[in-house]
Amino acid sequence: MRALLVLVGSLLGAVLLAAPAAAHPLDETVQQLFVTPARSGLTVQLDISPNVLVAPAFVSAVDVDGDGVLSPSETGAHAELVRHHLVVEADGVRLPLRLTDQRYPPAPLLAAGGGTITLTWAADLPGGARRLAVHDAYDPAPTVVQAGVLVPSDPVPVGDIAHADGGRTLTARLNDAATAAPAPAAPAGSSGNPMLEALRRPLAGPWALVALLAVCTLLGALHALGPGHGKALLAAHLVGTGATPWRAVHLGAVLTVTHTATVLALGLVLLAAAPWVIPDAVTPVLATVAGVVVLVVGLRRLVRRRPPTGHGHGHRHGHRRPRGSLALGVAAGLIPCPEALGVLLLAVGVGRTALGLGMLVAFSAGLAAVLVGLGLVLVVAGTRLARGTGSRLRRAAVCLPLASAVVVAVVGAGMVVSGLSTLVRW
Amino acid sequence: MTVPMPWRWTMARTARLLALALASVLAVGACSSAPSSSGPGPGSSAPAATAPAPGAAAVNGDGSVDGEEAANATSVADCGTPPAASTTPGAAAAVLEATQSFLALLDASQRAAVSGERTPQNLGQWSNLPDDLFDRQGLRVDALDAGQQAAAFGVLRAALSPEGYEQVRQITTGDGVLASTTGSDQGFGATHYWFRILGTPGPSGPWTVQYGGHHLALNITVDGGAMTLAPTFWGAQPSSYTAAGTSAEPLCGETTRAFAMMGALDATQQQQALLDTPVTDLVLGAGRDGRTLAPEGVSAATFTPEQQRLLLDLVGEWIRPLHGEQAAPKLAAVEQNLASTTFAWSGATTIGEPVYYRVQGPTFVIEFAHQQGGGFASGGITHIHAVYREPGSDYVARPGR
Repeated sequence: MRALLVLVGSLLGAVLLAAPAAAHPLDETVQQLFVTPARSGLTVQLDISPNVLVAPAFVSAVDVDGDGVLSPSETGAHAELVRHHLVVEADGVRLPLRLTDQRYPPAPLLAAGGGTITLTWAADLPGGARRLAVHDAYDPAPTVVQAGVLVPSDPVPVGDIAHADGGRTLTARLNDAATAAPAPAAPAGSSGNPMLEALRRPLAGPWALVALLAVCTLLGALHALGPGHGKALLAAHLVGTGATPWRAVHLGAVLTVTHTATVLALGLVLLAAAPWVIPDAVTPVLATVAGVVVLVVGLRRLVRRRPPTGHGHGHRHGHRRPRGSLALGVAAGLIPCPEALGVLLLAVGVGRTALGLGMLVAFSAGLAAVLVGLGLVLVVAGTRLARGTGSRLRRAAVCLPLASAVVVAVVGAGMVVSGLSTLVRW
Repeated sequence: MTVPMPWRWTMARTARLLALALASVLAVGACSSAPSSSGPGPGSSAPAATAPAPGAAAVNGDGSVDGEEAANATSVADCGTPPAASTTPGAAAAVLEATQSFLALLDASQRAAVSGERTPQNLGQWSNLPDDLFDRQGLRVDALDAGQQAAAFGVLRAALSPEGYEQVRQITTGDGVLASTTGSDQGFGATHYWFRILGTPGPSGPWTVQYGGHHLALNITVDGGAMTLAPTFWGAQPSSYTAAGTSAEPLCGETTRAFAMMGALDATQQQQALLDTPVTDLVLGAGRDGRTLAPEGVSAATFTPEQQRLLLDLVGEWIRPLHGEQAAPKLAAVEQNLASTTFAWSGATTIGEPVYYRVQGPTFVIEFAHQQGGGFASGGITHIHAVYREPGSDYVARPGR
């Protein structure tokens, strides 16, 4: 008890007396970043040392369940959080980081200000890269960041080194004659995303902007044809409910608006990121929520729907269930699209927010065109199916609503299982 | 991977540490108001050949330590005249002989405690932190009897120059001053320093004597006839003090010569020397073995002969703690590689302000950081952390072999 009193008294006293100093090691977390460009690849290491006055709060943020032990899931989540805030680029192209080592001291030592967390990542360094940039946005406030370049046994020679953003950003010129092959004429393929590449290049003129937005629309359309984006839901729902063309347009529009709004909202959250928000947990959470909505809609349709006894039922039901359509459209659009999100974040990062928003809208328009078009095709096909005269076609039309409800429910259940399993791994 | 906890942490231990933080904040506040007229005169810190053992000088009979803050030196002359370095050959053999004499005075359990394998993990097991925050191995000075202490310090005398030995003595004595000023036992003090011997002392093959505690980590590696001190952590808190009537400023030359160097640069060179963003802590401190930093700052290739002389004087401050015979080839290498040497700076250029600086050449790297702000881990110019390393050759007396 006496020890506790001494502790509390000292803490208060030290805080009060140290207050006039603006920032000093006693009340901040020191981050030392090491960047090692080698021929065998790039190594990025971050040493995080919370000093004594901030260490208890730091540890309690990492030790989520508060049991005084940093479990593998807690250290894993923290390491992922830090990685999320590290941006490593070679010639403007972001490099993915692979965690290769993590060292966490015991929680009590860390809480007493006597420990250092060491996280190490590896990345592939593209041959011929000329400029390396590393930005550490991890902010367990208050914090200070120092960064340095290390020389390994197989170095890529380093030229000028510059620091900015109070130490958070380090840039280094790479002088590797051996790997300095002529730069590829079209570096677009290096990140695998033409929109990200376009954001990094200057625009030649207004027509270049128009061409860029057209390309974004096309990419959105192509993207909609890839996996995801609720196409299975859209198809199952429209066909199963015998919807009108207007309903198809409505559902496609809702899905597209939700999709765009989700990207915008998530982008804003990430940009204003509080230090302890775990952005990588957002996607599985949203997927689970969306899955529950879809599952409920599917199950309700299964329960309420009786086998149709005559013509025109599908038509009638289609008019009766606008709320189901709205819910499905919102749910399908709720899951964030990483490609679109990447464009938005990079646009803000490189100071071209307006262009990024324009590209995002063009991308969404392309996406919407495909989804609405697909919906219209399905509605027209479904109508023709229902009006068909052949007995086999009629039987198929009779079974469609039931089959569609089952598909919707199964897709919803799949989204819930997938989202929850990702969350459990956290 | 979670590092296993080597000892049991207790609430009381945490409380003591925080109590120290409070006490240190108070102490720093008191120190900052000390009159500046009590600065040491020239030669006041000059050591004698009969200098007492580190840690023993200022400790009174009752275990307390006299101490008060003294003003920092403001010029190189204030640091006193360094003693003539001994260049007697056979320094490595003398260290071996002194080590064997020390070991002969230990009983079996003490020998077992002081000895360890020369593994990278054991070599890197040093820190600037006090014992409460860092688990040290070996034998602590206060666990040795007077004869054993004398023999142990004999190893340091054999390995170091008189100047270096005096610096070590002043740093450990200063830690006693800090302990007495803060008025509590926080795992540091004038005798809280540990000896450890890694590898088998012999006429061939590398072996290392470690001597360290709060604010000091000496790594004396011997290999045949060669010797190195890299890496060594040099620290001081308070950075200057008066104990038992004697003023001391252990890292005086390392401070004043750096300001002299920075002050001698022209505006363009100063701009090149200044790091873009603040650096306030050591980059290659404890636990960061085996790393080589890419150079930053102003290149000495742009220096005038006078500026080059000032740079050599500054680097010499960090190499001359080693026995003169062993320091000579290292100093020659520094001079030979001067054009490939860089000098980097962070902070004000007026002496008396807290700064960070780094000098780096192909054979060495030096970092110096005033711990800025107030409190236990800070203190501004009253609290110095510094490290001397030899990139690629830490703990290696004969590079390339």
